[in-house]
Parts: sequence; C-alpha cells; structure tokens
Amino acid sequence: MKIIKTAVLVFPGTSGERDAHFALQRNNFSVDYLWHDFDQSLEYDLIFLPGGSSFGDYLRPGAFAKYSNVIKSIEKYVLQNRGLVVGIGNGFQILTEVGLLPGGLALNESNTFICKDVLVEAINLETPFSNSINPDNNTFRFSIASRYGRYVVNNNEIDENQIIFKFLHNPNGSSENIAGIVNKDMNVFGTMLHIERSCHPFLGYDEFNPIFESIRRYLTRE
Amino acid sequence: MKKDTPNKEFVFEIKIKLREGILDPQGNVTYKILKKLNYPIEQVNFDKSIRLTIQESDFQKANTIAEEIASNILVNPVLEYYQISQIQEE
Repeated sequence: MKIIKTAVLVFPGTSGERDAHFALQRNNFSVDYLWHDFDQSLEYDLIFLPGGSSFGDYLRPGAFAKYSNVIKSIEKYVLQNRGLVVGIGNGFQILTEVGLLPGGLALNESNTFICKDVLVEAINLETPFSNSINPDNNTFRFSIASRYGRYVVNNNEIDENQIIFKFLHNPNGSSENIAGIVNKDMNVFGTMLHIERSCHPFLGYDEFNPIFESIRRYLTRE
Repeated sequence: MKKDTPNKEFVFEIKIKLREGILDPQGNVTYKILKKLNYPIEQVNFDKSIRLTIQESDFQKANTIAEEIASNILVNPVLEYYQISQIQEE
C-alpha cells in the first residue's frame, strides 16, 4: 500500500493536532507535525489544518495564522497542485482568511458555542474528498464544536459544485445550509465538521470515515 | 543632511463594523432586551474598535499606514468594513 505522507500543522493555540494525528494514523496515513514557523510543506501528499484557536483567535479566528511561514508555503503547494489540503474548524477559518477558500466564518446565529453531533448530506460525490461515498448512503453524523461556525458566502463567490456537504438541520445559521466546501481546483477542503473525531467506535462513531477513504483513493489512484 | 525622522505620534481609531446583511447576534439579543425594557430602540450593532498609535513625521504618512493596516490586516472584507478617524496628535 502506498504511504501517504501527511503534515498536521500546529500553530500556537492549536488544540486538535493530536486528535488529527490519531485519526490519520488509524486510517494508515503517515503523519508528521509541522510547526507554523517552518515552510517545508511541499514534500507532503496531504496537509491537515486541525482545530483550536490559533494565535488565541485574537482579532478574528484564523486571522493571524495567515502570516505564518507555513501558510506561504501552503499557498505555493496549492498553486502547484502538490496534493490535498484539509482544514477543520479553526483550520477552515484559516483557509478562508488566507483566501484559499471563498467566504468567511462568523459568530453563530445563537451567539453561543455549539458542541453537538449534526447530520449532513454529501451532495457532490465527485471530488477528491468525497469520491468514496455511496450515493445511496450519503448521510453522515459528525460533531461540531465552534462559536464562529456560521459560514457566510455570497452566491457569486461559490459554484454549486464546490459544496460537498450540507446540514440537514442548520445548527448555526450558515448560508444555504453549507457544511463543507472545496475550492475551484478541488484540492482544498474546508469544514466546521470534526471529521477527525469520526474514526473509532470507542468515540461513538463508525470505524469507516468516508472522507479519509476518499482522500486515500484519490491520492493512490494510478 | 536633514533627515526626515518620525518624531510625532498620531493616534487613529479603527471602527470595524459588520457589512449589511451579516447577522449580528449580539446586537440582536441586546436589542430584544432593550425593547423588553421599553426603550425606544430601533437597532443595536456591536462594532469593534481598535486604536493604533503610529510614529511618523507627518499626518499623511501616518494616515496611509493606518489605512493599509486596517484594510489589509484588521478587516475581513467578506464580513466587515471599517471607518478610520484620527483621535489625537502629540
């Protein structure tokens, strides 16, 4: 089996890196932590931006992380189509702040931190992040844990095929019930869903994680 | 040779507001409470205010720097816009 080299980015204030490490390892990815000061992302097949509060989430969540060396390297990585990039929670916020993904994350409609399981439906199964999802079984349960989780985007900034997941019951007021998106080139995926928590029956989820499975299939294709 | 030294301090206030159409949950909740208390309230908005003290030789240069910081770094143009005002010169 081809080894998929993954970098989990760590900023001061990141807290989800060990969860990501655990989930990726369970799915047989080889994992390194990459501290934000370093800029050697190009050698990896997959870049994972985990959740947390980078730089204390001061100013706005994700706002200061974009000035890190590693982000400059990721911008090059995406432009050169070196591999895939996944941003979860704060990682998603960073990717929108950097401009690698459209839109932005605002305060939840309820003005509260929301931590619960939500149901989402996969609506585009032709992306590197969703190609293994069965169209007859495309509803999944994932957890969210965020205060700035309301995804806001103008219709003219995003194409329909960039939306991978939609909430069945919108928990935070996100535009168009959007729960997960990709960029136009389909090599960057961002979501507030904690997909990395869904990897072990002990955590209350299935062993099978459709997103990791899709990424593996895409990166190991002939 | 005369050198242009930045010997003055200029203080700017940057007000960051949510764009029209972007829901302001804190403003909405506060509005409801004030309404309940029978105040003649039409709208409540929560803004951010950031003060920058800039050392420069003249106002124009300091203002350019403040504008640059506000538009490039402090504001997320998807959600917010800003207004800038000078509040002090020393």
